[in-house]
Amino acid sequence: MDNVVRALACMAAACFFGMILRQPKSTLIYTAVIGLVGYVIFILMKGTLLAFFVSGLVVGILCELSARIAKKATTLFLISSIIPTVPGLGLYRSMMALSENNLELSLQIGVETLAGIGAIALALTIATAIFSCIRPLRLQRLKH
Amino acid sequence: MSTMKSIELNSAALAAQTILESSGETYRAEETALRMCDAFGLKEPQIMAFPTGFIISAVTNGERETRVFRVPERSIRLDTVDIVNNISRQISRGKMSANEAYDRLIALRNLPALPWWRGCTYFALAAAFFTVMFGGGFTEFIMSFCIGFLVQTAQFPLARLNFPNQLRAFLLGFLAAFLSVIVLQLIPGQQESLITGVIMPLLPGLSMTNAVRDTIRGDLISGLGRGAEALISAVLLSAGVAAALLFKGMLWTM
Repeated sequence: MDNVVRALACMAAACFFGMILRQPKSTLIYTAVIGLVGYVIFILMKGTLLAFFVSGLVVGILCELSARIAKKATTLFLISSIIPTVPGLGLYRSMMALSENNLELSLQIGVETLAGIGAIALALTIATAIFSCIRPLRLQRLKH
Repeated sequence: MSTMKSIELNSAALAAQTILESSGETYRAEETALRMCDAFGLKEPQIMAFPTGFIISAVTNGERETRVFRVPERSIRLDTVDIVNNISRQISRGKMSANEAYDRLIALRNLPALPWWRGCTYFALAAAFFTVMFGGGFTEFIMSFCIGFLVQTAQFPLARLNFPNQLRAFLLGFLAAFLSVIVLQLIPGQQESLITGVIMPLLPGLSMTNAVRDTIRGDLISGLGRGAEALISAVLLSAGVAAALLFKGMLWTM
């Protein structure tokens, strides 16, 4: 029951984050679902560095696919779909340890958090690269 | 110089400017302008865009025309990016003229902004649901909603004072954590889920994804700039949170 509430909250949060960014209304349902999928993968993989990478990759690929289905720009989907996976909790815990003068723990969690952000960025890069092979060709045709 | 040709270059420039002002990716601005120039029959179009400005030039009637634009202020409006994208698609299919595109872009730029209380409510709801996602209960949901609303409202006076963008992240992080700590002294609750929920919507998700996407398309300067922006605001945000927690520790031991 608790997990269901948290899953619904995750979808709602991704949805309202999209509304802050003024996403078109038709894309909100996609981002809510993709955001949930990313977060569930992240939780199931116990929040390791690999979990950041895998959920970033899945979110990236799903966003590129839904952008092609809905015929809209990928950014519209990507930003709010990835946000539930972004390590806000690690950031808080690191700062909490810092304020308790526990430098060692703070550094450990802080580096883990930064590495997590890096892993997400790398995963998104790979997902985008897979799909962007098609686009530059079209642009080259335009240019001459 | 004929004015007809000018309006074609102008509408391409206006499209690029609108995308950059709405925080679209830099490569998208370049690609859209090039596609529009091509569809309008302008020869040898060239564009060089950065997140803060761009230069566009094309040959019209045997003469090269150039426009330089600065983009001093950016806001996040993905709906505008989407509409410009649709306009450029219609143009490249030959379904829209330069004049019509220009008029539609001007109308789009004159659309009123969202009323402030609606933006704040969305922010507050996002913060509240993030709190629940991190394990908060109903009390934390309500607290997070109120604090989120206050934090987002605080952005308006800061923006009016022309406060530096990056320092804003520090102050907002401080405010979010400090208000949470104060509220939790009055009403008991979970500190972790509350603070994390409120700072989640403040994280620079947009800069991060745009940095990645610009870098992939070979727009290295924009990619690096946006990446640095994302990193700096994430670090400052967490510094703000740490400052609030340390401050609370000092107050309580006094």
